[in-house]
Amino acid sequence: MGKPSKIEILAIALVFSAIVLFPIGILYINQTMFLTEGEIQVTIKQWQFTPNEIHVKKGQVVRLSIASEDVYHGFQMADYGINTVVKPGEPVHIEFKAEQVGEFFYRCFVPCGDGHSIIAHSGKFIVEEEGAEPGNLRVIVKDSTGNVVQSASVAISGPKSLNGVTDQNGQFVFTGLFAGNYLIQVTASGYGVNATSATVSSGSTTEVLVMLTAAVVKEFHIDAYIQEDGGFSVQESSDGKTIAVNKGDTVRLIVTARDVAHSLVIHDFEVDTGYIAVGKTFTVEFTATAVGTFTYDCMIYCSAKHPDMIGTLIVNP
Amino acid sequence: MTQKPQKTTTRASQQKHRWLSKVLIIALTIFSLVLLTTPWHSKAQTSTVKEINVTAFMFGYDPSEITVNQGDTVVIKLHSMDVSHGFYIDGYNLNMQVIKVEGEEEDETAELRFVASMPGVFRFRCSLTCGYFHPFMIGKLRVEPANQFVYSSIAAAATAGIALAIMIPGSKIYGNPHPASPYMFRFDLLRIGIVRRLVKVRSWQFLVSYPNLLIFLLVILTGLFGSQVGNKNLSIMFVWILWWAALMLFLVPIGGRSWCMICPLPSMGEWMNRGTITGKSERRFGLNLKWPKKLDNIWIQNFAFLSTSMFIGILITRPWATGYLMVLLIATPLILHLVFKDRVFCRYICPVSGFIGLYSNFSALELRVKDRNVCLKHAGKECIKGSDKGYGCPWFEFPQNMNRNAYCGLCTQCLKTCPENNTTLYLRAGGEDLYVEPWHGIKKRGLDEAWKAFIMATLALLYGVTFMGSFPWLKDMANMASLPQWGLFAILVWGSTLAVFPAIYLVFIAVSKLVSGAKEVPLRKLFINYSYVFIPMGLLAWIAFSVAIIFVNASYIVAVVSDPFGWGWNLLGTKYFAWQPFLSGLVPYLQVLILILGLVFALRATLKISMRTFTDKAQGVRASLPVAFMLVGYTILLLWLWVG
Repeated sequence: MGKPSKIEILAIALVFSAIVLFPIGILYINQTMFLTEGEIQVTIKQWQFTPNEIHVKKGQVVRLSIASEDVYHGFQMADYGINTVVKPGEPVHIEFKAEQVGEFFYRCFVPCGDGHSIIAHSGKFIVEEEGAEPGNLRVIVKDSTGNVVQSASVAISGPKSLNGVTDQNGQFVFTGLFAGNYLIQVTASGYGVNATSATVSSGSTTEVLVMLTAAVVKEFHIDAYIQEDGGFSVQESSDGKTIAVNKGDTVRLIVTARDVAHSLVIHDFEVDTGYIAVGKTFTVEFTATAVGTFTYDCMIYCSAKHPDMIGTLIVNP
Repeated sequence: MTQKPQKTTTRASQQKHRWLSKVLIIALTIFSLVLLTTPWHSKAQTSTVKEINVTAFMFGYDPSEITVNQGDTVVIKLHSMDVSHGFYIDGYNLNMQVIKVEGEEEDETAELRFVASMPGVFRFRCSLTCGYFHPFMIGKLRVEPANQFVYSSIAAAATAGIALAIMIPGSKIYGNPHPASPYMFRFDLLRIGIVRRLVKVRSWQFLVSYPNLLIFLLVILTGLFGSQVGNKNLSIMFVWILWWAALMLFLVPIGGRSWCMICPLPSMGEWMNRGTITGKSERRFGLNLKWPKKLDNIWIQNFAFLSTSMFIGILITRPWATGYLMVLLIATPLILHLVFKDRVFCRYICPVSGFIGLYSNFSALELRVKDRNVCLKHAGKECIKGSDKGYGCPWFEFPQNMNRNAYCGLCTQCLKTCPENNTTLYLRAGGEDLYVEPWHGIKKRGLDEAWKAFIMATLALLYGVTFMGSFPWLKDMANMASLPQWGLFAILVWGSTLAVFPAIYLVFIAVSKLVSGAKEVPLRKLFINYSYVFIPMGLLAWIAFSVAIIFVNASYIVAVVSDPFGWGWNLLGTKYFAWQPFLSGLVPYLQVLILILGLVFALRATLKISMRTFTDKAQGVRASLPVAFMLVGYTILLLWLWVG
């Protein structure tokens, strides 16, 4: 074999460029023509979000590229007004400014099979303020006589949403909160619901006293889960489905999502628990002002059995 | 060499073969009759309104078959059990989709209202990407009177009868050596100056396989790193839609092993072994062992193909699987070239090489020596030893004795090395590949090739039923919904191809031997010889399959060229080219025509094989009849699959 011919040198160059330059070229095309600087790639499939936690700083312009790897999905982040269908193989690009500090929730709103409502098929979008220390919130619960109330459920919603139960001193401390306004809702068995709000500032502990008054409340513990014969189970009901009260009663529904995410809605009384993540409990209270037979149902598509998630509310005169 | 006597032979053979055109004309007439008797655009409209609730799920419909009468006003209400789905009706070209959104229950049902004006069987399929098996989510709409299946079956049987009636009187017993010309038409392509110059260029194979190498690298990259949505990924679309259809529709029937000429998979191994890409070297790298004589057959290819086939549901829907398969198909020859000399991978291992070779016996291109006597007098044997112009045949063939296409990889080395310019490429019609007795030193036909023919003929049917049928449970099996289900599919693939089909075939062959009355002809010989009728039959069955695949899915290819990775690129502006089946109403008729053509070619092969195998014409004709019955039966099965 003598000196390689010109054709041979050309061939070697072509093969070399195919193997080495080709992938580099593809990455280059992607980088320069189609990739936006700092874009966060979100992938949705049955049934997970990757990543399922996104951390950004307040004031940052957030660019998301959302792609589906299998079927039609949706990307919903209600607090930022984002609601977009994501078709498989057609990434959606969205851009917005992270103005609100706090912990937000993104999820799929296109029913996409049995696992649609499981917690893994959602994610947290966390907006932090640069350099801000976390704040704490101490909630003290007392009754009208001034005695502390133990084992009261405390739920806060705001930049972060958390639940807690008061100790023997009637207290619960929420730590690691973002600064901002929080709505505090306290419920305890034998008492009426009381709600108040408080402002948490960074690096300090805010103290809030919540007074509860004993009230005639009809309390119902409701488990929401997918099952053959409908999806709600009411502990205090004889048939497990029907909620019976009298006109004028204060009705308290303590709803727990057992298997996947659910919600409970009574349209006629404008009662809506909103999205209850799996394992979480949410309490709603309303006054039964009208007489009649009403229905309550789930508004989160939870499975193929979703249309069966329905029950009856009877308000007697 | 004199040209004139050759020409007269050709003309004489054209005379001899005029019967084939007769048969084809009759087949076409019968086919047109089928078309005409179908009351296409009947205006008849009954006042019947048929409301049908259909539930869509991954991956099928319930009910999977809808029957209505011609003229009915059909209202289909589509509801989805799981994810968003679509509903497109072939032929009627109607489409609806259910895109699910929480809290909007009224949108969860889509409604399609139309008058069923055309009778027949129409496939309906999902039009909205709904997961891996989305392209195979199929049901059937039967608009009565749906009689294409019955009509086309009668047409197939009638064509078979007429074809035999025309062909039998002209058949003659002949043995070796073969008659003057088995060709109806034959043209020496190297008489065209540009072709001759091109194939003699040393770097020819590199030049034609290089563009393919780029595409294969892209297939691996898109498969492994691109979006895993199959119909948005170049790897799936290029390999299983474009390549497969091109192979079956053009490359094999027209060019035989022309794919092997441009295939980039073994190139890198070959370059490494030769130490050069385009040059000619004396020294070889690696051990350069000889392939064991015992394995000089295509059984490994048969098993490699079946091993791939049992994963077919995964391979054709998961880009990553296609990516890894391609890596494997490049790595294997690379390793083999270290151990063995020349194209051992292509000749004995490659899963697709087996059927490409077998079917190329029926192709319109052949590489042959012009005059065997020139070879016999010439002592140099550069075609197998190599010269400074090129390598000795890397496919272990001996051009002088080659009378079949099966194992010639069209690498063009012997066209370069022959000092007598006695090797050439012919464009042809006819040929004797299917029934010729092999010359000395050339691989004999045997059970390995017979089984290859069975495997392909069975899978044309099994794949059709699995992927294009309306049986969701079968799709779940192929899609590995669970391990036991997939186990059943694997058993189905191996069992049907290796045992069931050959067993049924054996019954027909035994009957054939019995009715022939020729006791001296061994059953084994008949078994092997008649298996070659499944070459034209199987190839045309696969063409019918590929027509359905390419017409429905070609629009995806347009989109995927702009966005090969499914990353949101839009290189050529065609990324949002919507999915749209082409000529979906015509496809079944095209398939009927293709299958009946296949039957005619197979019957011709049957008679040719009989006349070669028996020494008495009457025996040969009698022996052909059971084979003909079997072929008509096989054709009717395929007709049931596509229009039943």
